Amino acid sequence: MSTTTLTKRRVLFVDDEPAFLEMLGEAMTSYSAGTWEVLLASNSSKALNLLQKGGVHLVVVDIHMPVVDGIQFLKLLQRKYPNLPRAVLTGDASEEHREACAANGVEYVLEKPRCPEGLEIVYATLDELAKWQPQTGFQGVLRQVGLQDVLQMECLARSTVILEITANGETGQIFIERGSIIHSQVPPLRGEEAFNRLLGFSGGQFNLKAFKEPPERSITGSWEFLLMEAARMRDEELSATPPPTESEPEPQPLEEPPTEELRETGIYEPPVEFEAAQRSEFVENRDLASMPAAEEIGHEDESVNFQDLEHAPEAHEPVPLPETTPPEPPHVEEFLIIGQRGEVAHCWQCMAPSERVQFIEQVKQKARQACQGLPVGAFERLELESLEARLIIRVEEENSYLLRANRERPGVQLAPVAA
Amino acid sequence: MKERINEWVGQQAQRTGLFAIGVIHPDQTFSGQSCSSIYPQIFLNNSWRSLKEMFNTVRNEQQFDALSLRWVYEHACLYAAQRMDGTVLGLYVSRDEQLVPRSEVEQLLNEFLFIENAA
Repeated sequence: MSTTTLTKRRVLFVDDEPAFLEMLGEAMTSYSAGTWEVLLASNSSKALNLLQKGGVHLVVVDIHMPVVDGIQFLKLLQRKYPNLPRAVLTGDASEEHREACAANGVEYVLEKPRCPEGLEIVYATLDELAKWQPQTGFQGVLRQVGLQDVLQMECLARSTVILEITANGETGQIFIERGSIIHSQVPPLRGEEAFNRLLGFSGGQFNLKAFKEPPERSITGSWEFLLMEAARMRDEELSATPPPTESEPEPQPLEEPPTEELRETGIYEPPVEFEAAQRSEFVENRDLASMPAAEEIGHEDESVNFQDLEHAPEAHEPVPLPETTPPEPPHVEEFLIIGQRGEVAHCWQCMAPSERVQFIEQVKQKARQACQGLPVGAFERLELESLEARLIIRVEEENSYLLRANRERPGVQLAPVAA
Repeated sequence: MKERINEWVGQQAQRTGLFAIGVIHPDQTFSGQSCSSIYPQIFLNNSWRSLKEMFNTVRNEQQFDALSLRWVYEHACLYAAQRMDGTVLGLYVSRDEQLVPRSEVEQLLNEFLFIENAA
């Protein structure tokens, strides 16, 4: 069998120690027996030049480098080359660095070897990583996850992908470039019309495909606005459907509207009835210029979103007529946002904000302590359940959030036994 | 009771997607099992202790009588439940919901809370 027809894997090492870099280059070339093309860069600038030429399969970065250190460089790679496999090879694989690397999409933090055997292990690990290629597509069923959730996720992650949707015998695409929706098509429609058509599907299949340049750029609006507009249009369609049957329960009285901050964090989604009734006003009154940047919006999450808690249908999906009385929506009783330095940025119905701030700090500290030495990655949130209420503390880089809601959940009930 | 709980913990250790399981008893002794080599026992006892402390903190300082906690990390979830007798269960599980459905974990926590009744 000949290996000459196989494409060599290009592996780029970035390290500011010339002697180590040279030794590494020689060793990796030798171990790979011609299957690797080893590229060496002594700083991030040289590395970027090499990356721009394309064809690199794996980047291996040292952490301690002058001017732009490894962590900063990884951040840059995360944005610019999100699908490029990355690893870290460092003499300082501390827990703190491992966490920072994990936060920037690096799962493999290897220690610089001190013996030839170690180099061989490093080679074997990197070789496996270099062989890995991002998949070109995933499949899913929209019954479990709303299309708008997938879109939000991709946009928040600043992904560059094509979301292909198939439903009702139609197939369309939404082109996302660095988190912006730039084009949509579903024959014969294009642009926002096509986008709204695709978002109107209540079920189907989707594929995330590798990005390629669309035939045109038909969409310029922000993705947040597009999603809200699509949802509004669907609500209008729904309101035009036949009146409810007798078995349908009376609509819930409107809850007090949650604040803008509540919505923007994404950790509270109002009940469907509220959403349908208030959305138009919400869209009209919203100052689009003041909308948060993608990074500022809380990440969507299945368990923080209270929709799953109440087992309500997706807010943006058609609302099926319930056969039985749905559970009461959870009632938000308290909400708090604190900034990076522990200052209260927003407080709604907090009885003792300073105590809550202190508690959030305790949670952050305890979250670090609890998993010391364990490969769990960065802490995201703590959820506490009692018989009556649910308390969530979510920690993000800029802000931390605390939300307390009553607990109305059918099915599984955690109940204590008598002492 | 302690033996009964330890026995139950041992029975759960083979579950798919479970990285580690452990309990901290009211007398502060630990019992547990690592189900993954990357979750060494030496670090786990510290985790179980932290869970116990957090239950105490939320009850005493926040007046929130938590039955269960769910710490969500980037790569794993740490679930915890506390019985009325003060025994705390901790579970490190994968974040992959298909591998470990949340309902199953909650079921497990429920079982733990009801061990005495089932005996």
